[in-house]
Amino acid sequence: MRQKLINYFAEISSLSHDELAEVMEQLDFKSFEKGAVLIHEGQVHNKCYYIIEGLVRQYSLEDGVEKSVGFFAEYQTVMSIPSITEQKPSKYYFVCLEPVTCIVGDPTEEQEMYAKYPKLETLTRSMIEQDFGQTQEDFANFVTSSPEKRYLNLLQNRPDLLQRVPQHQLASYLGITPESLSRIRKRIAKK
Amino acid sequence: MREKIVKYFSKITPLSAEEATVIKHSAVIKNYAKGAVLVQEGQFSKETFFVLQGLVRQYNLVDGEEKTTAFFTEEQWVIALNNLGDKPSAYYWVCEEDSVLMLGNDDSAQKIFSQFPRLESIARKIVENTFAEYQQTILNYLADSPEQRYVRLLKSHPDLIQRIPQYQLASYIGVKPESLSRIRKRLMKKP
Repeated sequence: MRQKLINYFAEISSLSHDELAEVMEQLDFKSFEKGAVLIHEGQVHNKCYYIIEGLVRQYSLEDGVEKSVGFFAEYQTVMSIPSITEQKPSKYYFVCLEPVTCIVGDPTEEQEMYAKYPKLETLTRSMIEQDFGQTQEDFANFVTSSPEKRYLNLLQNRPDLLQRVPQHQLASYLGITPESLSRIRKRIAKK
Repeated sequence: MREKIVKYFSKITPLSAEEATVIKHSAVIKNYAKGAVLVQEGQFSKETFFVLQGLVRQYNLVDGEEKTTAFFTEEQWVIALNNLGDKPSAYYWVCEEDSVLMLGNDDSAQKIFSQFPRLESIARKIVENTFAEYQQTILNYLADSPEQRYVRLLKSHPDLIQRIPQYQLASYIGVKPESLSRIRKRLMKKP
C-alpha cells in the first residue's frame, strides 16, 4: 500500500522513488476503525488527515438531525478549517465510514519537512490543487443540478460513494429525503 | 499596483529585497473592462487571477439562467484548477466592474520558484488558504438559508450590496428578486 502511494506521488511530483521512500519513513501513518470520530464538533483540532484508504463523512448535528455535507476518500484531506486557520472550534463531526488509513499532518510542523525536502512542498501544493479542483467541480455540479441530476453526477463521477455510503446519509448529502432518493434510483434503474 | 502585490506577499512571509524585486518585475498585470469573461465553463484555462481592484463573479448556467455562487474582491484569488489532470473550468468567471488583475500560471511560476524556492512556500500557503476559504464558502452556502446568506454577505462584504445588480444578488442567495426585496425590508425593520 505504501508502494502504491509512492508510485502515485512519484507521478505527480519530481521526487524520486528513493526520496519518497525516505520521506515516507518520517510521516505519521495512522489507522482508524470504522466509526472512529476524527474530529468532534466544538473541538479545536489542529491536525489534518490525508486519506490513503477509506472513507470519512463530514456532518453537522442540529436538533438531533444529522446533515451530511461531505465525503472524503482516497487522496483527499480531512481537516477542520476554522481550527487550522483560526484556532476556532470545528462546526462539524468527521467520522470514519470505513476503516481508514491516513497520514496525520501537523501544519505547524510541516515547515521543518519542507526545509529538508523542498520538492515535498511542490508535491503538497499539487495535492492541494487536485483536491481543490475536485471540490470546485463537485460544488459546481451540486449548484447546477436537480436532485436527480446530482445523483446521476455521483453515479458518473464517484460511483464508489454510492456503494460505500448508507442511503439515508446519501440522501442528506443530496438534500433530499431517503424516500425521494429511492424514487430517483428506481426511476433511473428503469431507464 | 506592483507595490500592492509586494505588500500582499510580504504579509504571508517577509520577503528579501531580491524576492520583492522579482515579484514586482515578473507580475503580469492586466486591466479588464466590466463584462469581460475571464474563463468560460468548460474551457481549458491555465490562468490564475489575483484581484487587485474590482470584482469578479462566479456562476454556472442552469437551463439558460445564470446561477451565481461566489464573488471575489480585492486580495482574493480566482483559481481555475487544471494544471493537473486537464480538467475544464467548472465555472464562468466574469468581471462585474472594470478590474485590475494579476495573472499567473504554473509554467511561469515554476521558473521563478526554481530561482527563489521560498516563493514556492508562499505559493503553497496561498493555495492552502484559498482552498480553505473556498471550502468554507461552500459549507456556508449549503448550510445557510437565503436570509442567512444575505446577512453573511452583508457582514463580510458590506459594499458588495451596492456593487452588484439586484438580480445577481438574488441569484446568489437563491431567491427571486421579489423575495430579495422582502428580505431586505424585513432586515431593515429589525432593531
